[in-house]
Amino acid sequence: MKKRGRLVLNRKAEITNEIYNVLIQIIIIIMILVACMSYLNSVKKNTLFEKMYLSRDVALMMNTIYAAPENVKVEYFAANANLSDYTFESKDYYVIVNEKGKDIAHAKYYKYATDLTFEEDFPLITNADLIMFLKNNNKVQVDEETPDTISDFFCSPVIPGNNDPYVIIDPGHGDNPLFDLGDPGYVTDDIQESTFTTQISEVLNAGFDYDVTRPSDYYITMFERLSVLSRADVIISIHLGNYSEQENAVKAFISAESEKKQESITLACHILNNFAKNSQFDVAIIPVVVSELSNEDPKLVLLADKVAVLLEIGNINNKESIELLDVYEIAAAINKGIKDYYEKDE
Amino acid sequence: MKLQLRLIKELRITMKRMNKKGNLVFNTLMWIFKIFFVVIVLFTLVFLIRSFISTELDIFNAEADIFIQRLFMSRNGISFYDENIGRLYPGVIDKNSFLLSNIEDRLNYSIYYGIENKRIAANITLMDSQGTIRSVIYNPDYYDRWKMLVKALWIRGPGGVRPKTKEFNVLIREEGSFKPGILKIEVIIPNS
Repeated sequence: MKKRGRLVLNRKAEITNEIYNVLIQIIIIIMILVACMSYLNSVKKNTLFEKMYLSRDVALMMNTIYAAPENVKVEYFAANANLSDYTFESKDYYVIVNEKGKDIAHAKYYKYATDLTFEEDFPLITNADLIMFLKNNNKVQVDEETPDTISDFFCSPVIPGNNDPYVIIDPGHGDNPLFDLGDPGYVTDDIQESTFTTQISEVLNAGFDYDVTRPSDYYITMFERLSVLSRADVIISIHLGNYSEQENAVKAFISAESEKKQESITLACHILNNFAKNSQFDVAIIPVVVSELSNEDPKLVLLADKVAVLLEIGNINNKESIELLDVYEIAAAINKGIKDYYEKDE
Repeated sequence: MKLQLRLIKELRITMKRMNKKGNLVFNTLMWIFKIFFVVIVLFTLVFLIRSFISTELDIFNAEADIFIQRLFMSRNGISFYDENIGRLYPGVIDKNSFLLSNIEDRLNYSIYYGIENKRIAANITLMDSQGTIRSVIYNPDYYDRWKMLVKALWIRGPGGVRPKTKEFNVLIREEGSFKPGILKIEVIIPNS
């Protein structure tokens, strides 16, 4: 009996001991779980990665903006981060990204390369859902919103000379019976190049003295056109582009050998800037060596002693874009371009 | 017989005492082991979680490519830029401009990382059918230092560098005519 009683007492102690053991182990397991969850939570709340990502990304964006050959406007937003939670600034060519209200010690930095030929404006950005990057002429702006609109070309100022110019619009060679209606490059289903360019010259609401090489759609030889154009101060020749399907641009050709090359460039620049404001065209000024052109090349109208621009508008092989062309819009861009060149008020 | 019984009794008592002490030592050892085990589990968990969380951002390729594009596409880079019409000809290298003695200063001015550039260096070599026309070093101070480290690719973290080399077929413009050439750009960026 005594022995048995001792045995029970022993078992009770062991059971109590065992219960304490299990309890302590459960407490330890709970402590581990809490520690793990707390660690995971701190990782979740940690914005280190986002700050590193944003500082690098914005720095790379600055490098890309400077790398662009032309003016460029970029609306920047991060798909996986809320930009308004962070502040952005630039100091000593570092992009500095920090959480709002946090000490600068928590900020992340990344270096970018500026271009000292550009003026740079990158103020402190504190509440941006998106960041605007704008490179316009010789200035780079970074801000929550940019007031400036992009202009595609910086038009070098020139003295136009004659303030009352005689402008001749050349709508091309006109309807040539030698061309078939299905001839690609000149005719689409609905638009014939010669008719289209004639319409543009007809709706031109000029605020200056002007004439056209042909008033309606009939064929006119290059010789006849050149004899009309020889009386002009300013020549604007209008064509439709004829390129591979994807291309859709307004190209302004000027003579590289012209005595009035700079004036022609400035006029082309003003006209193209007006195109860029109204349409979604790519624009380009292209110099051509007229003396090396064939006898029937339309760019022969770029006479060396005139301010002369040949415009190729759109691409007749790009049906979607050609159907969107608006003769009134095109005529307005040309008209405004000429007026801007002569700084005439509307 | 009595003596024997007493000895057995004393032996039992001693054994019992010994068992109690053994239990204590055993339990203590077990607890040390358990705590040690818990610490290992805790560290393993943290290590596992950390191994799945990567805060490393490798932008080496993007940075090197943008730098190369900037040399090519920027108005103040190495491609021919017609100031009259404001048009850049990417891939056309004007030989006279490339041979100018101040081209390194010009590049440093147009791709400016500050007075001391610890971010990027490059060697730009223009070649034609006759051989190398000229090598231009962008950021020569650090290029020479980092060039030595290029072979030490086992240095993966800070202190090491990574190179990227690209070759482009270009047109070399010389007195109005064009001839084919090759432009080799070797960019070296330190690990950050």
